[in-house]
Amino acid sequence: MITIIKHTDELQQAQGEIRAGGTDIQARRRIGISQGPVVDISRLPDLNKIAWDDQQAATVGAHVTIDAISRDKEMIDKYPGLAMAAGALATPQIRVMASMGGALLQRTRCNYFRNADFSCFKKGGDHCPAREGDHRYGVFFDLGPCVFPHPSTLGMVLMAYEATVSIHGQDKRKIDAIYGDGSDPSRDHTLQPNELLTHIHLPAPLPEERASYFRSIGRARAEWPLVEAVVRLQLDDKETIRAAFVAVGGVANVPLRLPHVEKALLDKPATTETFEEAARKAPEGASPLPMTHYKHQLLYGTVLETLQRAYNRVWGGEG
Amino acid sequence: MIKTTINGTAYEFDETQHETAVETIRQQCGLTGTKKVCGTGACGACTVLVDGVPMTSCVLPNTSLEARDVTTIEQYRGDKLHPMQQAFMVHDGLQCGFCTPGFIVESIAFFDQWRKEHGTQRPSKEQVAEALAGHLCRCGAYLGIYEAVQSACAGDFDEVQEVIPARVDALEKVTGEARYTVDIQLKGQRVGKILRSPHAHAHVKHLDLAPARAIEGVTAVIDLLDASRKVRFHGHEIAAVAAIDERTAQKALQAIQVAYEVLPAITSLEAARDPHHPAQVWPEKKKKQVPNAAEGLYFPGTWDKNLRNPKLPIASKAPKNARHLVERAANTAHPHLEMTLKNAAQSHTCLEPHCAVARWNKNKDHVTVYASTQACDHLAHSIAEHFHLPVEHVTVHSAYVGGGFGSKLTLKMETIAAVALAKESGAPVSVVLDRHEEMMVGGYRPAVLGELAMSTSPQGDLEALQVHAYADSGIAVNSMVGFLIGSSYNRPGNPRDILDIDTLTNTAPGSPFRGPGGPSAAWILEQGVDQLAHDLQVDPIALRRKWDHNPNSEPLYKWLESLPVWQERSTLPSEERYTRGLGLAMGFWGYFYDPKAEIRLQASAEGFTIRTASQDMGNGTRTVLAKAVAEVFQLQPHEVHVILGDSREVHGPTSGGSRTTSSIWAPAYQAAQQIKAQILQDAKRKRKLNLHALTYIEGGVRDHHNSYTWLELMGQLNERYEAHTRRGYDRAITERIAYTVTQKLGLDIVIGQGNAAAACLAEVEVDKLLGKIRIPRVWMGFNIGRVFVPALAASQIYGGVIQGIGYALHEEKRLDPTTGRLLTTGLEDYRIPGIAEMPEIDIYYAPDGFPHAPGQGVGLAEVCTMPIAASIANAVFHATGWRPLESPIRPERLVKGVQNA
Ligand SMILES: Cc1cc2nc3c(=O)[nH]c(=O)nc-3n(C[C@H](O)[C@H](O)[C@H](O)COP(=O)(O)OP(=O)(O)OC[C@H]3O[C@@H](n4cnc5c(N)ncnc54)[C@H](O)[C@@H]3O)c2cc1C
Ligand code: FES
Ligand code: FES
Repeated sequence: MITIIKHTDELQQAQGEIRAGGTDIQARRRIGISQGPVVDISRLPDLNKIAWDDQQAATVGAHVTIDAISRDKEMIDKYPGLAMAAGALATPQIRVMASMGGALLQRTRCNYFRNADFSCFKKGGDHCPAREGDHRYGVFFDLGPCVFPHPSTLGMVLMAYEATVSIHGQDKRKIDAIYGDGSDPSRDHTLQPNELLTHIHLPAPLPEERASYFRSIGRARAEWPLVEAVVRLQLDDKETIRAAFVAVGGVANVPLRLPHVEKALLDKPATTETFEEAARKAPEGASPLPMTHYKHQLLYGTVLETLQRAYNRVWGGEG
Repeated sequence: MIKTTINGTAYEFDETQHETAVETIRQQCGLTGTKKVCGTGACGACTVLVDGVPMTSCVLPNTSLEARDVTTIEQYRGDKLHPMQQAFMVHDGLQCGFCTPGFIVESIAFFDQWRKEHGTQRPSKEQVAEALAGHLCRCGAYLGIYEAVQSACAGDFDEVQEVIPARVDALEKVTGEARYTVDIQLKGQRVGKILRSPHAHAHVKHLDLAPARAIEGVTAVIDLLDASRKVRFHGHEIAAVAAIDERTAQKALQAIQVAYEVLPAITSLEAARDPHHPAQVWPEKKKKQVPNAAEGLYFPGTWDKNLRNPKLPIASKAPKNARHLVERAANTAHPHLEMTLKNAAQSHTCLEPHCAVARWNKNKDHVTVYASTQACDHLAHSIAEHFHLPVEHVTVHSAYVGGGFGSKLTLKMETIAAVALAKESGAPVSVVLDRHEEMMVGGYRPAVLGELAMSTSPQGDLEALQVHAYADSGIAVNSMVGFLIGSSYNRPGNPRDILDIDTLTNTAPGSPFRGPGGPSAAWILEQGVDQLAHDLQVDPIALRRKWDHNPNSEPLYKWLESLPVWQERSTLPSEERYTRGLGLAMGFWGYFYDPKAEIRLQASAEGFTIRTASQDMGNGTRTVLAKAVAEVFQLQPHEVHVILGDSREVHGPTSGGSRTTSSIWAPAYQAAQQIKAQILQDAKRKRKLNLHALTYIEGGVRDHHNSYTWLELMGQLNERYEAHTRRGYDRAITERIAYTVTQKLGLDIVIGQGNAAAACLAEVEVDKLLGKIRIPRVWMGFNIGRVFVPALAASQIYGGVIQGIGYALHEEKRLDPTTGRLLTTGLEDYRIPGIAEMPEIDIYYAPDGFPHAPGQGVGLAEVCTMPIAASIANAVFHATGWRPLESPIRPERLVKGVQNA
């Protein structure tokens, strides 16, 4: 059963999994791992706008598409890390359909989860078959029973932007709060069914900040990242780093901010040496699985590459 | 009800029948030009325009079509043909055509946007790759696609009225009019579905189909198990149902009751080599049901539990001596080498899945089957045999086939199920594998482990060769890896110890994949040769030339030596993060043909029609036939009407073993010549044309007074002509004997004289930090004799190259190690190359290779893919100093390898 709601008031009565653009949920329904009723929210009004306040901070409606974020001139100017990531993920066709809400709240891409032939924590099971089985594309920081990396590129990016989100009828939450600490293997985010994410709020960018996003992949394009990173830097006129935000994806079952890397950058000169030293810290504290040791170098390399790109303001994303 | 507009026409549909737009568009609106492949948004085959914006309709909720303006490929037909479509036709941006509608609608949207922003400026390849990043083409038509999109955007087709397509069926493919088996919708057609084993190995103690039969809307339920009542792999077919719709069929599958006794299972090559493993895949004494993973040739062998050792005709020579020599070399300072190399399994993943639609006549004594097959004639015979029917009572249609690559050569379960279900249903039934099923049982190139040892004499000769190849084709046998290695560098007198072991596992059967065994054989041996050249500090070409016994390789060595890029190559790997390398590998392939292939050509004032019961899966059969006739009559190939994909026609070759062209060109040409001679005779007789004064002009003749097209001439003569020809043998006696043998094995194939040869020089760029490899360019040389249709030969080569790149760098069929269940169930996890992976490709053909073959040319579809992966591995070694022993060389392998090197 598919209920299309046209007003947020209808949310209370409607029962079922929320559907926005459909690009994730329909793929899961096709293979039978998402069943039961659906509440289609794509016709809720007023959620497809990017609004700016007088501080130059953006509020992004949940229906704004990934493609729109990647092309919006103001977004590119103010939040280049986010716009770049939006332009680098998935495929052009997916980006025009996928909503920001869905991008943040999509379910994991683990091959065991997306396969009706296996049971796992996220499907009501009591174990993680990837941990015992093939976890080559698994986590590098083992934060909880589920060992597949969190899928959300933009969730990761928004960690570096210290964004907050609005859930219909509730107080704003920090973006970290919707992902938790990775200890609960049964979910990909902390929202309850029928809780509607309505807006994403981005703090105003720092003056003169520069940013970049980069992912490490095997093919040239359109591949889920092995490791991905976003970096924001603010330098003073002596090229000393005054602010640094670094987040990474593909390495943990939640998007990760790397405070120890940020610390290694703060108040240092923006030089290759500083970037290398900071990037070398990225894998610190990791707990690799038997098959994911290779992510040590990829994490170092991806963070280093992203730092250099941010410094040089390189537009790009895939590599 | 949802209201929408598609291609300017208003549609109203019940949105509850299906959830996503692709089913609504294809099934409810009947617009089958749009294809569904992956179902998850990864391949772009289902792309349609919604208010002008390309979207993948397989994940687009159908309710999102409400009040939208939808455009599908059907919009661009007749006088609405778009310049982009013309560009695809001319630049051959397609092979099987299954991905084509998706590419076209996306490219048209790109075109519109591009023109708005850039006018008729030519977009760069980068820009095209970015726009088409959401599309995959398994045939590898990417170079043609680049060229098509660039030239159409640049305005090259703006004013063009009519174009000459590179292949004769291009128009049907760029308009979505080509009807593939998945598009067949017969009246009253039921949906068939297969129940598969959840276990890798089990005994089915009890199977109760009654609960499924009891469900309303279910029209047939059948048992698919054989007498052993065993399932030997995860996905093994147990039963099948047919019902009025998909949902009811699913419900019926779930209702079937099965009781299993789960047996120990082997799920890896390593486990199969363990003599103490409790499982046995084929415990039966007689092993008749064991499937063959090779493309026809079958070598009987001896079994040792889960290992099988086939008796190869040309493999080992003085094996004891070979063993002794490599051992001696290992214990002395003799130049020698020992390496263990591996290849992951590679799935065919044709974009059109395995599928069949069957319909019986009223009396239930004649069945018509629409099938996605590479062998419509052979399949008709197999169906007849399986269902105990006279072969005249079976008709197979395969007008368009969305890729095969070797996986669609034989009668498989989807066809058996469709035929049986249709009989019981008393209605047509379709069985179409979904992508997960296709990835599970649609076939793959086996995973291989090769233990290689070589020693050289002080003079630099190959002294001894030892290869123990283990291949995991699941429950099937015959990888051909060892056989092909045994047939390489085989100079008289070299002792060699070759084992070609099948390691049986409880996993789905492998099937022949383009050049079966070839890429693995080259991966093992060509890396060995490359390493020895490096160790001995000799030129890799010189070393190969010394060892190679295939005379057809020689012109290729000459060509390679003449390449400036080879002459200028550096010798040392660089220490930098980004490095470049060049790698060389050789390949060879047998010359095969079907001596019984027949052609029927008809000609009259209405035109030329040529027929045979063969098929075109993108390999270009239609075009080759048309070209043969066109050449004789000086016509354009698309003026010749070709009828294929119908088993009722005269016997046509199976499209496998690179035999199609070598089997049909000569008889087609001969038929055309016969008819031409007759026309001229008649003309002389009836119209008093002076034969001596005749000159040929394009599409006709002229004498002193007049010129006539052939059609006019036939019209005036008021005659119809028909010629019926047969391929025949090159050399009567020996090949005839060989044919009797192969035919006993169910094959219409003869091995002709001489081997086709190929050389591949690959250039790589490696990012050692992030483990990434890019291939900017490859140079491919061939010695295959005459090239009949150069544009299509190039397309075949491009496909072979890109599939080889996939094999080397990206593709890996992965199973869960504990259960043997498939993990790479779709095109997101199973990564085939995209357009940005496509390198520049330079092609060289050596002249004069096959003077003894009728038409002077042989096939190339397989030889072109054999050396690719090995040349890439050698290039990576050249670039980094690290030898990639295991494929695919994904980033995780490269960073680990280079770190440890
Ligand atoms: C080939 C391919 C490659 C991809 N690569 C990447 C990648 O590299 N990085 C990446 O991040 N993503 C990637 N994606 C995933 C893509 O970003 C998501 O599918 C998309 O963002 C989901 O958005 P949607 O609007 O379609 O969500 P839907 O499919 O409609 O919903 C997704 C989930 O979010 C929930 N949801 C959606 N909106 C709301 C809301 N407002 N409030 C509460 N719950 C909500 C739904 O209940 C559902 O569970 C890829 C997808 C494909 C097909
Ligand atoms: S079928 Fe829709 S993207 Fe592959
Ligand atoms: S032509 Fe693209 S898949 Fe065959």
